[in-house]
Amino acid sequence: MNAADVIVTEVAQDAQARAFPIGGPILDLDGISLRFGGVHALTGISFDVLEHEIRAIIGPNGAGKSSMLNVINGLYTPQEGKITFAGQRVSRMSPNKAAELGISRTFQNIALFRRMSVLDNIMAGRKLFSHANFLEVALQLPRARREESENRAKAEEIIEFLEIEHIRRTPVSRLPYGLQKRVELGRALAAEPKVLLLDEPMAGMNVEEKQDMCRYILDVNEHYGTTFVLIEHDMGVVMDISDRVVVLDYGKKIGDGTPNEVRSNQDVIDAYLGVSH
Amino acid sequence: MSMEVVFFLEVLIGGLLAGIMYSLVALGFVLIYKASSVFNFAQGAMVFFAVLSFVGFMELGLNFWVALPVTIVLMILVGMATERLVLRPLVNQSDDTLLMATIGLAFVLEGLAQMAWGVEVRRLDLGIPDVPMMWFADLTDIFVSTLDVVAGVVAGVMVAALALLFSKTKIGLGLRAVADSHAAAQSIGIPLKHIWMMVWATAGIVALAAGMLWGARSCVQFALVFLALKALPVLIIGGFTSVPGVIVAGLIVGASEKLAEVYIGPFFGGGIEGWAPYMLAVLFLMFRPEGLFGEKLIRRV
Amino acid sequence: MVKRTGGTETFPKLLVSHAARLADAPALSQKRRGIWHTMTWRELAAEIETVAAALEARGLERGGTVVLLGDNRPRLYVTLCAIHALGAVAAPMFHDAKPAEVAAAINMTGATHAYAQDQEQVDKLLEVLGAAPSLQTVVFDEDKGMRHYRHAQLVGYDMLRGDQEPDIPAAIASLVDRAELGEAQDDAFVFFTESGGTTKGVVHSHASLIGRARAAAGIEYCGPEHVVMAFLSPAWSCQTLFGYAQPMAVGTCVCFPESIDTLLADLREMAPHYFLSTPRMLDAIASRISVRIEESGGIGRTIYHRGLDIARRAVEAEAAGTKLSIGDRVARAIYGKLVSRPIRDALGMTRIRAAYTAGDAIDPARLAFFRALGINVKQVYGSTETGYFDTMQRNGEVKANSVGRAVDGVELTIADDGEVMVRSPGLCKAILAAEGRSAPETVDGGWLATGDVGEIDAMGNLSIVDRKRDIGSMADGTAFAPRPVENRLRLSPNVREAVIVGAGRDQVCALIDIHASAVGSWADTQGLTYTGHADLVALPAACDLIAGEIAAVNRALVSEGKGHAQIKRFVLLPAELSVEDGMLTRSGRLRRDAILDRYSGLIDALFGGAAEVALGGGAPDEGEGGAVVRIHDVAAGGAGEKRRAA
Repeated sequence: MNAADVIVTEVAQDAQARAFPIGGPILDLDGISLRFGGVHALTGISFDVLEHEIRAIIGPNGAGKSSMLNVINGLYTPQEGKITFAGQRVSRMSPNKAAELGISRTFQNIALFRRMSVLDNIMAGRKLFSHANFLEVALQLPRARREESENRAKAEEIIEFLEIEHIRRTPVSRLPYGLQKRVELGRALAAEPKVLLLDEPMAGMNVEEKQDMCRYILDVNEHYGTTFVLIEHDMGVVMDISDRVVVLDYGKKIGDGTPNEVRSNQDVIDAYLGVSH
Repeated sequence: MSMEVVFFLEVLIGGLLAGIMYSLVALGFVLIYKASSVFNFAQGAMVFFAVLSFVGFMELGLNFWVALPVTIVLMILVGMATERLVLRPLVNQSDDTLLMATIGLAFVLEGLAQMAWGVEVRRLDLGIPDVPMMWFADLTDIFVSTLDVVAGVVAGVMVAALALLFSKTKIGLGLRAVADSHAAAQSIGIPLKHIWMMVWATAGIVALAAGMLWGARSCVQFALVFLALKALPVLIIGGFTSVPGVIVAGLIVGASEKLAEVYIGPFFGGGIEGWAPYMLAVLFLMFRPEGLFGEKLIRRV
Repeated sequence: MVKRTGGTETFPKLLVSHAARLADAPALSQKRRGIWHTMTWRELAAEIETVAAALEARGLERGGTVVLLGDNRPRLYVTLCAIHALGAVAAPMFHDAKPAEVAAAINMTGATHAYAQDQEQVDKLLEVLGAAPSLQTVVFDEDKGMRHYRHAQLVGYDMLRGDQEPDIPAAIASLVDRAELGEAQDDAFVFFTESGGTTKGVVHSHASLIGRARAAAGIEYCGPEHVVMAFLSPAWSCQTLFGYAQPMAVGTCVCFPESIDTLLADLREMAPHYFLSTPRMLDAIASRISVRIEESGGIGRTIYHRGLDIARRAVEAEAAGTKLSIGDRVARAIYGKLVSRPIRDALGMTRIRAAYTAGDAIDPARLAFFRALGINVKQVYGSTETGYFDTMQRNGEVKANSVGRAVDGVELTIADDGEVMVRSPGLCKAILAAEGRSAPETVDGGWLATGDVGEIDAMGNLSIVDRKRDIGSMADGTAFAPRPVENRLRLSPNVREAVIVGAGRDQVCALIDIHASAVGSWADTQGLTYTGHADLVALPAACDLIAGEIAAVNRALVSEGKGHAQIKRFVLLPAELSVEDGMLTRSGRLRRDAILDRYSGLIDALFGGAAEVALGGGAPDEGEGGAVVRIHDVAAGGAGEKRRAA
């Protein structure tokens, strides 16, 4: 029907021949409960994310999707539940810790460094790969120079991959929305993440931009083997590119499985489709 | 040189030297505004707190070179405490909330300083005479105070160092990143609290420098908190986020207020030094609200 | 068989000669990941030999054909050179060629190999594998998105070439041997041209293209110390002549931008001596300049307009052979520094010796605009069948409405019906069609009919009126050529394309395709809001803007005595005319038949006097379905009233 469908058939047919075959669990969430005062944002949510897969979390507005992502990313600390990353129990996740573990993310309302150029934004994403201290940078000592050129090379690779060479020097505040989203993806990629969390990557986009974004997600997954966890309230395209889907409703998990399984799950149809249509 | 020209140059140089000190005060605001998008109402209080503590330590018998590092350490501690007790609990709160918090901080710092060191007016002697440099006067007929020149040089060096820090280093990058988006900065592993701590500590040190230079000219007294008001037109003219902007704006404000006082003042019966900079700032607000070097906000649909 | 060694009559022999003579001079520059990389002639020759040997190992034979699909990128360029080194034939195609066209091209040429830039091109080739049985191997450059492809025919460029750095002397020695096997009259290129829905292949030998390239290079010295920028598709024969044949013939360095989107920035960095553009590109650049200037406003804008006025007067004076007043000359020098220099700088035209434009007519005023900025824009005219360089404007005698004099060796004449006839030593070797190979169609001993109507003045300058089949007459019998009027309209930064309809009618109407970014930014400054192209053209203020510009064109037409061609009514098209939906040819010309067909309802309404019309199911693009398009009347430029009264 649309380009995304075509992409999916392609991927599905060649599922065996994936460049990075789906592996074991890289992220495991067990019994996560999150409360804000008396409000139960998440109640006993458990699911896992396998290495190299594209995992979607869907659900109507207010289902707790963003809260879930913020728990994984360490912005929120759940009152109950365990997070295991790459086999290691993470006792207290924080945004910095997540970044160090190799969890990058993008935000629903684009969070870019608006005053910086596209290149600087992506270079900023390499922050964790810079170890040279102030003096080394100021004096341009070998380590500083080497890091700088390595980081630049990686940033340029991403710029080429995402086809944004032409806006390399443009301050991001001057870019249209769709391109800003792409730059944000680029900055997250610059950290060479193992897991990339995307918060509504296609919100506010037109059909063409959505297809582009799908294309890039699939390309990144295939080329770098990056594991994706993405949330969307629109079931359309995301169902098509995901390997497995978790469905949340009112902070509870009501479905989990392949897109087809989820589509035919009666709870999901009632809670989600019923609302949406 | 004719007398008129010499007099004009004297006024101009005096104004520029005062101006660079305005820049120094304004710089403290810019630092914090850049890092947390909040107008730090406590900057004036920090100036007062810093220099009063410095004088206090000297009164306790410490000599200048001991009192200075001790005060610097104190200001760093104040910066860290501010981060821990004021900012961290307010992460992801609105800018207005942060603004109110800095007003509160201002009262706390003013109170603490006076509690600890008392309320009387003190003299601060830096050992630099506030008299004209005679060799310069012999050479050019222009009278310029040594203290003014030293103050100008110190302020200039600090301003330059901070400008470099912002533009050339990883810390500068982190700072700009934090200024743009807290969430994004955190997500790429920039530790918000370190950056804030750094910024507040640096702002504290800048406040100390400003306090010492002003204190040496006009005594260490509560009125120093109103220095912040002098910085306001500088900020408006220079733009809240621009280091070079406040430097240039400081010079403009310094020079124009002195020149206005001398040349236009008599028509108003004098005393326009106090409000001329504000008039200038109002003009800027009307015609160039983003300031000289501030960024223009472009919104596209 | 003994052969003369060291000749320069084929591309590989030229390459060998440059590798020996120019050796470490730059041959190829490309920007990749933000950095310029330069290859010397020796390195380039060794690289080409490496790729040629790899292609040979993959079964490419002398005389075989390789279809090339992709943009003008360095790897495509190296592959093209390697194909020639092997004595094979290169058949470049536009990157947006449809699968059916690709299949037809492969079958027509019997291509055994194909080069594809990326997944998009590979997918096309995989799709036609069954329909094009001769195709054995597909070499692809970018592997993005193709890591899971498992077709036996596919081989990545990196894998094909290997990651060994070639031993340069050995590789060059091997290339020398290889080059010796080729002859001047061997097939070198197949270019595909389309007319009336059928595609044919135009076969050129090494000799014909090298001959034309040398003749053109002789007109204006161009040599190894110069840099040319290559970015248009090599499927366009003019680009290949300019960006391959000529650099090979005279040893110029070719440089490639990072991507087509970064072109302007890369131009600025490289500041080439020569570059080839199309009128459409020049329109886009001019539109960009004026949008920027208008946005900046204030004193800069005033200086710009003043400076441009004086520079224009200077250009006119030069064309007329008169002198400027002293005051104007002084002012010109000052404004030159203030206006022209910075703009040339910003465009990367500081070192430009000539910027050629070809492919379509350029409006005299547009040409004057660039020349006023001190950019030596010159027209080239020709056809694929004659090796493109038929006529060229010469320095010092650029007449705005002419495409210049014949290039050495080319003869021009005008047939009785006004059609331009060309006889050129660059005439192609053969024509390929689905039915087979044949000699090119010429009359009276080698004259080729160009399909254009034109005139030749006493100096031998050719000027083109329009395509022969586009020239019609209005209902009252007045002859009427749409293209000059359309070009005039396109001068406006707000008009991207205009389609004039008037043949067989009693008045002239226009379909206007606006420059969405220019009109959009204008709307921004007016504080108007809109959500997309269709919304933008529906703004009454935008229509008024265009109506004003059309009225100005009408006045100009009247003052030139062409009052009959005045535009009476117009519509703003709700979607861009694009190559993808078949409204434009790949070189950017209007596909007049297709446009008239697609918008037939709209055109009927224009002439029928309706105030608005719904674009119904007739429009294939769903996006326009049911859109209501408003029709506008324009103020006539004076003489129109007379007609109305008559």
